[in-house]
Amino acid sequence: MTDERAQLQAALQEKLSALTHSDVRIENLHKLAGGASQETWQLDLHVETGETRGDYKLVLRRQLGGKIYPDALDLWREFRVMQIAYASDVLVPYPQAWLPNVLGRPAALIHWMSGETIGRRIVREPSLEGARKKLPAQMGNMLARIHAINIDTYALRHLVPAPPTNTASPISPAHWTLTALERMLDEIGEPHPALELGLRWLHRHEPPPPERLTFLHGDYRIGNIMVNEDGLVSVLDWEFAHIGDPYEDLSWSLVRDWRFGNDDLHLGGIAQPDEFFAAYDTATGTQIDRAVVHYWEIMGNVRWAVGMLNQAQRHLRGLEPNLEFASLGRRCAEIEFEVLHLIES
Amino acid sequence: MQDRPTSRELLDSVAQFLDSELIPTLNDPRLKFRARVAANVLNILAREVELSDTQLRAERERLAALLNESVLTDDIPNDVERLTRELAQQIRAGDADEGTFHDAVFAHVEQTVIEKLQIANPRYLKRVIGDE
Repeated sequence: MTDERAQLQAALQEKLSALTHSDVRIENLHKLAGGASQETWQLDLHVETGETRGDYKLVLRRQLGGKIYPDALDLWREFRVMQIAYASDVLVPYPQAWLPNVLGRPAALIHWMSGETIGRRIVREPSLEGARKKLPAQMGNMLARIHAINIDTYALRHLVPAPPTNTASPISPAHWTLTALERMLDEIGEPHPALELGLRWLHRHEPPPPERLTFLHGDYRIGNIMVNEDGLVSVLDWEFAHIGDPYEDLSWSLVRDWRFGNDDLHLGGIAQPDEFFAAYDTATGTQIDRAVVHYWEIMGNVRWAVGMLNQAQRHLRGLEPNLEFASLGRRCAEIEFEVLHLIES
Repeated sequence: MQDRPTSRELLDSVAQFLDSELIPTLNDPRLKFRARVAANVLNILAREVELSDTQLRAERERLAALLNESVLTDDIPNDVERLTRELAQQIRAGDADEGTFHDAVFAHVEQTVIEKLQIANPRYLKRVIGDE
């Protein structure tokens, strides 16, 4: 056992024993992924006595540095969002426990779930052919459930980013997002005329604001949805949750970069979006406007392009040396091409 | 001047080494993925070595015409960066929203993005241009 693992195991043993008021046994502790800002481990936990006695298969997430991205939630807020989603009948891995201090860092314990998350496989695996047929409607239904979460009930404005309301004239989510993207682009400091053209188009074609501000997942797409042969198992990666226009979530799942090579199938490379929209419409009693979807798809591409440039900057500024991040800086051109294509059509 | 192999030849050589000798021995899937990214980066650089000079020259010419710029120096990459910043500012300010200037800007920007993709990912370019 490595030193790091031994230390972590000992610390977890102590914290979990205190938390459960019981003897505990930790086994198979191993690291799944690690970077400069966060780590993910897996473990088996046995709790001997008390209310929570039993056996658990858990994922441990540790926050090492500060927030990764300016607009992302820190680990605690993400954990809290998952609790709220779980309480709202959204399929999300059960957020089991929050440990404020494990070896000096906060950690979250979340139920381990079994399924496929890799976009390329979800789109291509023959064994998931049946799942792919069910997914569009399931995705529409699940998104409707997420959007039904009441912002005021859970005081979500204090938990996740939201367009400011304390101004003389309220700012639409589109305008708020555009301003934030321009600020991020300026921060990055490199000129991107293609993205500037996209931003101008978005300024000049702003649709009416949503009827009500909505709680959004913020990264809802194939790649963040766990799938098995029965279809949708779980919605993952809640760190970009925020409040805004529901179309932002609807259109994000159509962004070309997340079709994993099946460019013709606009919904994450698995289907056309019709069933997805229909299911959402039925569940919410609305009728999706394709022109507004188009608007937010362009916005989504611009947002993703800026996100890529941000990740490249993280590498370049020495915050998180990472070859993948660095190479994203060159991939941005693919999204720029898509933005130009979309605003022209 | 440098002796052969040329930059291009060396880059190809290292990429080849990664692909045929190193990557096949890797078992950790994450490490294997990152090694493939590394090989891909080398291929990008090899294309850049081939195409960059010609592209930058053409890009500068387009920019100078677009922005009515006559001040050009010996340093082509520097000129291109300076003019691209100028162009980005003008777009942001709304100067290219409509009319013939918009069309000219759009055409230049599209051409520039295509040139970026010729270096960064020519297969992507083939895939998406095929769609149209």
